[in-house]
Amino acid sequence: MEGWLSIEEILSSLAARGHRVSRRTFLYYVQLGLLPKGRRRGQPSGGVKFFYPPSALERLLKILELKQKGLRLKEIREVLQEERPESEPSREKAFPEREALERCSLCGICGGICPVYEEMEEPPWQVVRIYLESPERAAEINTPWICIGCYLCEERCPEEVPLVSFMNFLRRINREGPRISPAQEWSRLFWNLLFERGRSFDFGAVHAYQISLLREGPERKLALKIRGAEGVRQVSPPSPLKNLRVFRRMLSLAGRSSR
Amino acid sequence: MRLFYYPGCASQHLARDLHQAVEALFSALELEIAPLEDWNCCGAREVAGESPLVGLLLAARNLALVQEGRLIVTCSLCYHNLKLAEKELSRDRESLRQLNDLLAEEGLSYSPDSVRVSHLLEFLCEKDNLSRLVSEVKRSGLRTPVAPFYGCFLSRPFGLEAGLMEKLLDLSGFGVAANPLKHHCCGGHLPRTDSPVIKELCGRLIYSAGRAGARFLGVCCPVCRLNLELYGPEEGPRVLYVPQLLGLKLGLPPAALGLEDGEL
Repeated sequence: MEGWLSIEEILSSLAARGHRVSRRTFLYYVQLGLLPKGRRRGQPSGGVKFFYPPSALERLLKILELKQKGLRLKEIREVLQEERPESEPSREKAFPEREALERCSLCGICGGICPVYEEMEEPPWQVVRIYLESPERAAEINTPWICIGCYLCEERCPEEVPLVSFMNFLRRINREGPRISPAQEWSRLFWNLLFERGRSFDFGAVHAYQISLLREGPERKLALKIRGAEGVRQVSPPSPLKNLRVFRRMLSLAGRSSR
Repeated sequence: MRLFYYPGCASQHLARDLHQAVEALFSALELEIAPLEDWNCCGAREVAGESPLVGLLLAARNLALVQEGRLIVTCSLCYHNLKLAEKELSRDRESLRQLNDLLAEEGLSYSPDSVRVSHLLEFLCEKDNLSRLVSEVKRSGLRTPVAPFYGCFLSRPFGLEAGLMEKLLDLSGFGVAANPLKHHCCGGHLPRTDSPVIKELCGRLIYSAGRAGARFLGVCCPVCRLNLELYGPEEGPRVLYVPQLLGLKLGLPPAALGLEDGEL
């Protein structure tokens, strides 16, 4: 909790910049979710005091700025939610461990041991070779989307090529690319559902069970049908997290938006 | 030390039986383990295609909710993701700082030294818990053979100590059938792509367990269980969760373990 500030510290540094905000208003903004929650810390004197992350100050300045522009609190909340992180994680361009890929001796063990190689357009070692020759071509191969990440190849690779992180890297940089595998669609569904409740519910679709869409649009309602000894049972999705708004915000700050 | 249990998303739908069995097992062994309050999805396989911070955030939020204590996990993919974050964040202080800034939004913070992630098998094999288990086992004399199946993420890259499942099965009164494919892959998320390969993979795993003379195939992971059940052949050993098998030996009623009547 280093660098965390008490309410008094935040308010006085605001005052130094010519803004007057009362303690009560500050706590109201916290309650509305406009500002991050504080953490309790016991004081040597015996009482308890709340401390807030340094980002609370910047956020408060932003709120005041938006208020001056005439926005209502509800609108401010929406703006803050939509706001992209200022330092968007820079898009990776090249695999950071290129020398590790260059170690590949083309022995083919990865392709042989991969449990799902038959689904792949090219075995992992070929993808490595293609990527080293022309990275753009590697974007058109379905292999990274088929990879399960089981680590069997990495375990057996005599050159210790980090194949799983390489496959993950290819998925990452080609996420927005043209659809080359249905797995990309599933991935989108997964994230949409995760944003909806903080817990995933796409397993149903995965396993040939059925996710039924009971209602569409903003009132979308899903259910899952499971076969059992006593016929088909309908199962509802997991209950959502308590504070989804904050969860979504954290997730988008970490670099993942719902779409 | 406080103990928490991470149910994972499947516990809410497809693996309710696993969840039930784990809870029944804890209460039969009189272990005080609370499900982690307000837990979130670990990111499953999909975090692989995201910036590492996304996966670390999903895991770290759960670890931060623990505050101080141990988090016991059953699903092997959840175990992999939580363990990965535990390892990464105890090493990479910069990511830890970034994450704690994010977690501060919710008034949370994570300190790697105060939370430990353990798999259920590891936890049950600890001395005290193992002796509790052994003393509660209702001997039947019949040692039904079970083939252990670990699958990928309990074997790689954060492999459990060898032989944990075998030890639990043996001490609870099952016979252990040697399973040469116990660390192999069930196909994971592959069915998403309507793959024919999955049938072959699951068929081979069931066949191998059957050849070893097993009546049951013991698993821990909801994905393994569902793949084997849906894509494996109808003939051959039945796939059950290890906590269900242990529960049966403790004399718990099948319904309390999420087993439907006539399933055995």
